[in-house]
Amino acid sequence: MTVSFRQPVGTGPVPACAGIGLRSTHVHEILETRPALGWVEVHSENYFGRGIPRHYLERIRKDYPVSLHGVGLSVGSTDALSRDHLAALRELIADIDPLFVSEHLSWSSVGGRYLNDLLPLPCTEEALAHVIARVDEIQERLGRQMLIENISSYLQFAESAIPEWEFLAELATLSGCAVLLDVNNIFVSATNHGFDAHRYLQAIPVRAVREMHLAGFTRKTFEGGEILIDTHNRRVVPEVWRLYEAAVARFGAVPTLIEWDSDLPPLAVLLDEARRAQAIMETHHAHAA
Amino acid sequence: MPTLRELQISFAAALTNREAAMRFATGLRAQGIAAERRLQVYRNNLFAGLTEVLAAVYPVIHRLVGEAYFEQAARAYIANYPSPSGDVHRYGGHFAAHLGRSPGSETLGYLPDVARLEWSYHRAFHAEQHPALDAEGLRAVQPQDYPRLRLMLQPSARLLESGYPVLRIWQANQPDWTGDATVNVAEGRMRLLILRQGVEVAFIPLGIGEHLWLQGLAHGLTLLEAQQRVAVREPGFDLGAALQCLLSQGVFSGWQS
Repeated sequence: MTVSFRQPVGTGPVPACAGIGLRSTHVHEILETRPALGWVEVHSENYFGRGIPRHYLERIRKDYPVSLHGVGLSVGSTDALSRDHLAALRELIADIDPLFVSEHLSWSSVGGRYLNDLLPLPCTEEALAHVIARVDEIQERLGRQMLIENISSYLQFAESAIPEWEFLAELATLSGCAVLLDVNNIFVSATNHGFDAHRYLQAIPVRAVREMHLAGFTRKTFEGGEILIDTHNRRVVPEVWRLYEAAVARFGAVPTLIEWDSDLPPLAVLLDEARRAQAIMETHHAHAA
Repeated sequence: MPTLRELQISFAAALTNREAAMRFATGLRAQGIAAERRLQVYRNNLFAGLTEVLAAVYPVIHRLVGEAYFEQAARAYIANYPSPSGDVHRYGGHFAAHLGRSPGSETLGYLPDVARLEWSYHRAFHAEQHPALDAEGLRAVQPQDYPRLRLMLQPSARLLESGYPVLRIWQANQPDWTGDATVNVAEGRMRLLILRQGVEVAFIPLGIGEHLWLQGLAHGLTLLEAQQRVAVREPGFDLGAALQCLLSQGVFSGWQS
């Protein structure tokens, strides 16, 4: 299958095409072979501090647009925002001139202790007001728009009174942040908590979605049932590809990323997954034209 | 209803403490799978995630002690040393001291120093490299200013002294090592400078005098003060030769007078 990665006319500076999450294992191969690829995304924290990884990222940046995806800013935490973390991120943004800067609708620290995981927030009015204020503060201190991503979750709080999709839609509307819609996370959480994934898509404002994520998950069996865990260690499943088609039909062809963070396959497998996402976007364009 | 802050505090406690987990689980929705099991997914993410972080920083330790011991040591470390940053590359700096206190480590006295070497390597890998000060750059200094000159080390520079041949242990445990795999642990004391050089991290063996002198400079001593410190313990130290050698390795980033 050959699919071109040309940039559709009229979409502005952002290439509406597929990219892959860049892991250090593949950096040399990408630099040597320069595969046809719309863009790459990296975890921001891996490039903090202008170390050796930064040197390679700067070389990658000469050939590809780069998006910065944070996992450690602890957006929803009730601790003060980390000045050090914001300073390191600001420096990275200034050096790399990224396509997007994104983070998660989650928290990962309290009382100065970091759990280094994406923990869910209760969907309450208090949490919503808190996250809106935090995203406002982050956007102001970085001087740019953030993209906020929905996470996979494995439990629900008794306190949650607002559906997650309404929570995310309100956050985008009131803070002015964009949405990074992780289609796999919607599928994982919908399965874990028994809600309708399509209802989630319908609730998100069309213009808010600037990027999408696709990934693979793991099924874990427990007494009493099964939990899907967002492990980023395999191919995207057919159900998630179908949900992605529905997402593209609603939100249009927005930059889409294949995330694969552990049990890394050869680069060719990632490129193959990216081509599949690209083909779905191209089909959408053909129908829309 | 708990406040968001209260909820976050009890969630964090539930990840490391069983009683806290039981209390916290009562505030979760039970659907099919018990809330306690759901919480276990997050507990596992925390411990498995940070164990992976430690294994990436300490591959030689991992190889020396084996999977089972490493996991046990990592688990105890994670429970006792909370991560202080959202940047996981900052996690694990006290692992050497932790290993020194771990049960059964008495017979492997070199472990903490090998861990120190790996931590230094890791931090140097993630450190910025400033343009190096060279002999040309020092010409701007007036000779009378030399005694009170302060040389600044590169941000990546770290000094290590050990009673064990930790560099040889490190080298013999690299995946691509083809040399002699036996190391005599009683080889004697060694001193080392760990330094980022471009896209590599270099290990530069140091003499006693060089080590003492660099230690002084790293603590902000002037050239004269550092020289006097060395003279007491290593009278034969050749400052000129050491300076020339270290300048050529790009150890310094600048000077202040």
